[in-house]
Formats: sequence, structure tokens, C-alpha cells
Amino acid sequence: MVSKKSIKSMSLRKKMIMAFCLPTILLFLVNMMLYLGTTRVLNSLDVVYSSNNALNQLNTALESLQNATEGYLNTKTSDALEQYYIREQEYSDMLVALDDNKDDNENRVMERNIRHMSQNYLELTNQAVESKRGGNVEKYKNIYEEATRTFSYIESSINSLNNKQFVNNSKSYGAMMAALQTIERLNIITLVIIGLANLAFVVLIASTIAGPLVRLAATADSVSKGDFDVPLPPVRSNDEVGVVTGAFNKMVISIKDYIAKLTESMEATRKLRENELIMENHVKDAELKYLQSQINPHFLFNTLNAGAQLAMMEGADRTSNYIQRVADFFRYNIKKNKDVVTLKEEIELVDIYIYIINVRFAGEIQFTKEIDESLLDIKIPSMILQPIVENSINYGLRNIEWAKKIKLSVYELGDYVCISVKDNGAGIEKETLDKILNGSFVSNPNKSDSNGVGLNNCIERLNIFYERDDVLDIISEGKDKGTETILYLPK
Amino acid sequence: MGLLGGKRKLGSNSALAIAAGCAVAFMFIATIVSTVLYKQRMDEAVGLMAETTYNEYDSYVVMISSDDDSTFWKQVYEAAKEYGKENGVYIDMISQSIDESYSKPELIEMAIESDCDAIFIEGDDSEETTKMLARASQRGIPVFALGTDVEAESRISYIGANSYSIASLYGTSLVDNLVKQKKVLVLGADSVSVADENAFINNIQTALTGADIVNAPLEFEARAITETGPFAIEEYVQNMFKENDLAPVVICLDEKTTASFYQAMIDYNKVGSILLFGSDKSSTILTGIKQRVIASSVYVDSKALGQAAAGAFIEYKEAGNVSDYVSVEAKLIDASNVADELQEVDGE
Repeated sequence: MVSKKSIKSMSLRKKMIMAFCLPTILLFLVNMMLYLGTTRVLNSLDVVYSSNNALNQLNTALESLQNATEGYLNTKTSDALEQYYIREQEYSDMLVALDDNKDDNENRVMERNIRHMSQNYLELTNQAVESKRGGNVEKYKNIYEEATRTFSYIESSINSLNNKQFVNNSKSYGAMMAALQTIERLNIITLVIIGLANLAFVVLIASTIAGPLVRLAATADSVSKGDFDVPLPPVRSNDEVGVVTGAFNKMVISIKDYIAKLTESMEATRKLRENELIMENHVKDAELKYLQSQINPHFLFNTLNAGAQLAMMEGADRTSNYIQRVADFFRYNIKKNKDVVTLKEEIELVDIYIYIINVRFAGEIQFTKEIDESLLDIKIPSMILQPIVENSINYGLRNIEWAKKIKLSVYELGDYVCISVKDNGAGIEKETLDKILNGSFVSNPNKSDSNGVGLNNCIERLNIFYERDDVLDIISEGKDKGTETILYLPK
Repeated sequence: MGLLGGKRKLGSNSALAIAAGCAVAFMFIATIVSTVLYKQRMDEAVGLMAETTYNEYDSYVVMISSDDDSTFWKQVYEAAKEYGKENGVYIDMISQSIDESYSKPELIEMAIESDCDAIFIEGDDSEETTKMLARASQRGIPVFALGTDVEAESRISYIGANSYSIASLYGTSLVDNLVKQKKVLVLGADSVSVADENAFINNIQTALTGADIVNAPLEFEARAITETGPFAIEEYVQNMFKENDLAPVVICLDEKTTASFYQAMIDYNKVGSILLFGSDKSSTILTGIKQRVIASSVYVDSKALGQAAAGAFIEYKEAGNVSDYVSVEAKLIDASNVADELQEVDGE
């Protein structure tokens, strides 16, 4: 039998050929066997009556010989003599078929008797013919009479034996016909059984071929409805269906992976967009704060410009300069529609702010800068530095009794550009500092002299812009020990 | 499953493969079983045609009696055949295997022409028989006479009952049954010659010498039925009754005559008026004795005769000679022992 493994590795074509050929070959073999057997029986049937035929022929030859003998004795012609010799030879030849047996059986004894009587008969006819040729009338007549009697004995023996054999042969013939009928029935039963088994075999083989296809179709149907989690059909065979199933399984897995990647990428895009929206929202919020506080920056700016021109006409140059700077400060707020500005622009705004504040604080605030000029072109979100400086002045320097110092440094530290705003003011206590850094500190919203943009707003915008939590750090060693706010911006 | 129609699913592939394998195995088994059955039947059929082997015999002996179809001679033949078979002798009754019916001399001629090794013959004194037996002698074929002796140069032995002892048995029976009858008719078929009958009468008279018989001496008449051919005996007996050519005491010397006479007695209502003594035993004769129609019957044991004949031939073949007379005992059946004999016949 073909092993299970080799059946599995069989191609669909081979399976189908096998399903067709195996039963066909088997049916062919059975038919051949039955055909050969039937032929054998039919051949035997031919032989059944052969003994009767032989006896009939012997009888005919005997009669011919008797007639030929009589013919010669009647006519004494050479033709008749020749005819006699031919018949005598013919009969002698036929006698050879009857063997001189000593078998203990009635029919065999009759055969033996026929042979012996025939031999004596041949001798008698010979003697009769010889006597006739020799002209011994008395002798040939006597011998002929004796030969004729022997002839009748032989003839009746042959007939009797023929009859007995006919009865026996008829029995054999009947038995053979019965055997033939049995064989015929056996033929039909065997063929029907094999036919049914064949049908079952072909159906089963067809099922082994169709089964995997049906499962594959069902899975494909589920996948087409969007169910990618459907259990994949197992690959059991190496035939064409197995190959297709394997390819289908790979395809489903690939599609699943692709969809997962696409979802991830869409999620990232969505997050990015969300950040942008938040950023924009904060900027708008800052702008709104300005608008709320300034009502109409354009009006204010134009008014301030008019004031500056008036002061110049009146010869108050310092006042004119001051008003001009205030106007510049508001202009920065108005013009900065864009979210991202250069560090240089931010520092310029801080300069303007310090100038305005120092006019107010009568030049008490000592503002120093230590700037690496090469870093001025880096891009940062707008309105970041000024709120930090403002915060330092409002919370650090405003109420101190000693000289008010504030220092702005821009330097490189590893991969970062560091912007440091350091004051020598009141400092911040540890708890407050932690609250500010994790965003839970609530400042007094009614502080009138703020420009409205809070430190929280700055920190959030920085975090969103740089997608990090640690862009801004505030360092204070405690009360009255000053505060340093450092921005770590990636290059 | 398309093939089965509908969407019913069959089991897993391996189950299907196993089922397919089973189907194939089933096919093979069906083929093998049918081949075996087929071969058996074929062998039986062809076996009928096969040549059977037989035991071989050494000698071929032909038995010829005056009436091969009689129960007596059939029994003799069967017994002789069986005994011969055990000793390598095939004893054949040619008339039984040939459809045509031949006369005794013709059968002897057939036996001679068949080159048989010996002839067992129930003798008679006909010329033809003697002539044929002379031919047998010429051909060097030994002849054994059974029941009735025969004159032939090559006659080796006579196997049969002593005629005197047979006559004595009849004599005894006559003495027992005779009342005052005087005439006794001795009737025999062609196998029993008038000479034989006379010899028989002589013997019976000798046996009756000094016996106590009312009308002694008895008057014997010997009559032989010389007609041959089918129904000859029956016709002869019927004629005797028709013509009332009868005697108060009748002794029949063979089976057929006894049976015919017995039936005629019943048909012509002569039971009681004729005292019938028969020969041989057949179920008819035994019934006759049982019904007291036949007074008694003397018979020679057929089996013993057959065996003695075969034994004589075997002895002759082996030793080159055998006793001139082999005796077989004769027996009398009458009302006293008929029941045992009937039982025996029924048993056969």
C-alpha cells in the first residue's frame, strides 16, 4: 500500500489518475480472470463428448471395413481389395486409441474387449480375404460368417459403451453447465461488489480532493467579509490545493500585518495633528489674552506711535524713545502671527521688555547677556523668553531689597542649546517649584502687570513643540537664593 | 461535497483516505474470495473430466449363465466379482454391460473373441454351447462349469451342489408333504435337459427308497421347456394350465419356472390341489412358501457358489490345477425356516 506520507505528497493529477486507474485495473483483472476461467470451462465442454465422437468414428470405420470386406468377397476386384486394405489400415489406426488396459472398471473393460475383438476381427477378415484370393470357397465362407458375428459383437459393444459414456458425459456436461451458471452468478456478484466499492473509493478520493478546497473557500468567504481572525485552513497535502492553501494563508497574514502597520501610521498622524491643534490652540489662547488685556493692539500701537512723534516734536527725546519701545513691544505681539521665530527675535523682545521695565523700575534691574552669537538663528516657539523674564522680575526681583540682577545666557551643552534666565531674587521653595514643574501650580490670575502669557502656557507649548517633558527646568536653592530657568532646546 | 449532493461535509482527509483504503481493501478481498470460490467450482467441474485411475486386474474372466437377469445368477455374479476383485481377477458378465441380448453361444463367442482368461458357464447340453466351448478349448481358454456341468475339453472344474444331495432334499420334502399323490411332474427350462431331469429323477427315486409313501412307487414325468426367447417359460406354463396338462405334484428345477408356476397356481385357483416344489430362492418364491402355495424350495447358496467359482479359478491360476469338483451346499426352504430367509432377503 502507498504510505500516508506519499499519498499526501501526491499531486492532484496523480490522485485523480490513481482514483481512475486503480478501480479500472482491478475491474479489468477480475474480468480477465473470469473470462479465462469461463474459456477453460467452455474448452472442457468441448472435450465432454469427445469420447462419444471417437466411438462413433470407430463404429463408422468398422462398418466401412465390414462393407469393404463384403465388397471384396462379393466382387473380388482389385478396387475392392484396395478399398479393403485402406479400410483395414484406417480401422487399425483407430484401434491404437483404445489402449489394452487392465483397469478394474466396466467401461474400461468394454474398451479392452472391443480392442481384442477388433484385433481378432481384423485377423478374420484377413483370413477371409486371403482364402478368397486362394479360392478356398468353404473356408472363406466360414471365416466370413465368423467375422460377421464378431462384427456384430464389436458393433453392439461399441454402441453399448457409447451409450454408457453418453450417460456419464451427460452427467459431466450437466455438472459443468451448473458450474458455469454458478460462475456466471459469481461473476455478477463480484462485479457488483467491486463496482460499489469502486464508487465508494472514487467518492472518497474525490472528497479528499474537494474537502480542502471547500474549507479554503469557506475561509476565503470569511476573509472577504473582513474577518481576518478566522482560523486559517491547515495545509495537509503537498498537492496543488495544498500549495494554493499555503499561498492563501501567507496572503491573509501579509494583509493582516499591512493593516496593522497602516493603523499605527494613521494613529501617529492623528496624534501629530492633534498636537498641532493643541499648539495652535495655546497660541490663540495667548493671543486672546493679549487682545483681552490690550483691547486693540493696533489702536494702542498707532496711539503710541502718535505719542512718540508728539514727544519728539516737543523735544522730549527720552520720552519719545520710551514710547517708541513700548510701541515696538506691542508690534511684536501683533506681527507675530507665525508660531516659530528665531532666538534672535525672542532676545530682541526681551531687550525691549527690560528697557520698558527699567523705565518703570527706574533702572533698578541690571540686565546682562552672555550670548553665543552662532546660536541666534535657531528656531523656537514665539512668546517664550519674554514671559520667563517677566516671571523672574514679577516673582523674583520685585520685592527684594538688594540690587536686582538678571542674566540671560545662550550657550551650547552637548546636543542642546541652553537658554538660561537667572535672577538673584526671592527664590522658590521646593514644594512650589515641584508644583510649577508638574503644572499643578495655580498662580494668581489677577496679577495686573503680567502680559497675560503664563509660565504654564510656555511650558506646555515647549513640550508639545519639542515632544518632550523636560525642555524647561527651574532651579532654585531656596528662599532669597535666586532662581534660574533653563531651556534645553535640541539643535 | 458535490458528489454526495448538498453541503454535508465528510470528515478529515486522513479519515477519508482510510475509508478509501478500506474500499480498496474490500475490493481486493471480494476479488480474492471470488477467485477462491471460482477456482473451487472450476476444479470441481474440470475434475469431472479428469481421468480416474483404477486398480488393475491380472485376469479377465467372463461369466455366462442361462439367465443372467435372474436374481440367483446376479447374486452369484456379484459374489464372484467381489471375491475376484480382492484377488486381482475381474469377473465380467458381458450380457449385463451390452444393451443387445445375445444367446449363450454368442456370449461364449464374444468371450472367446475378447481373449478372456477363463469362462464361468452354467452348463447345458445344447450343441451350440458344446461347439463354442470346443472353440474355447482350441483357444486354450479354461472353462469352469457352475451349477450344471458341461462337456468340454478345457473344462477345468465343476462348481456346484451335488445332484444327489439336491435330490435327497427334494425327497425329504416330498415324504413330508405327500398325502396320496402318485404322479410327479419334473419341469425344467432349457438350461435343464431331459437327461438332467432323468438323472434327477433317478437320484430322487434312490433317495426315496424305503421311505414311507402311501402310493409308492411314485410316477415321475420329466418335461423340459425347450422353447427359448422372451416369455417362453411363462407362456409354456400358462398353456399347461389352460390345457389342464398338470400333475398333482410338480417339481420345478429353476427359478423362473418356479415363479411362473406359482403365479399360475394362484391365477387358475389351483392352490391346494397341486403340491409345488420349487428351486432357488427369490422374494417371490419365499412369499410363495410363506403363503403355503409352494411347499418347499431347494436352492444352492448363490454367494457361496460365486465365491467358490472365483476361488477355483484363482487356485487354478496360481497352482496350475484345481479339484475337478468343488462342492457347494444345497439348502431346503420350507414353512419352518422361510421367515429367516425372508428376513435375509429383505436385509439385502
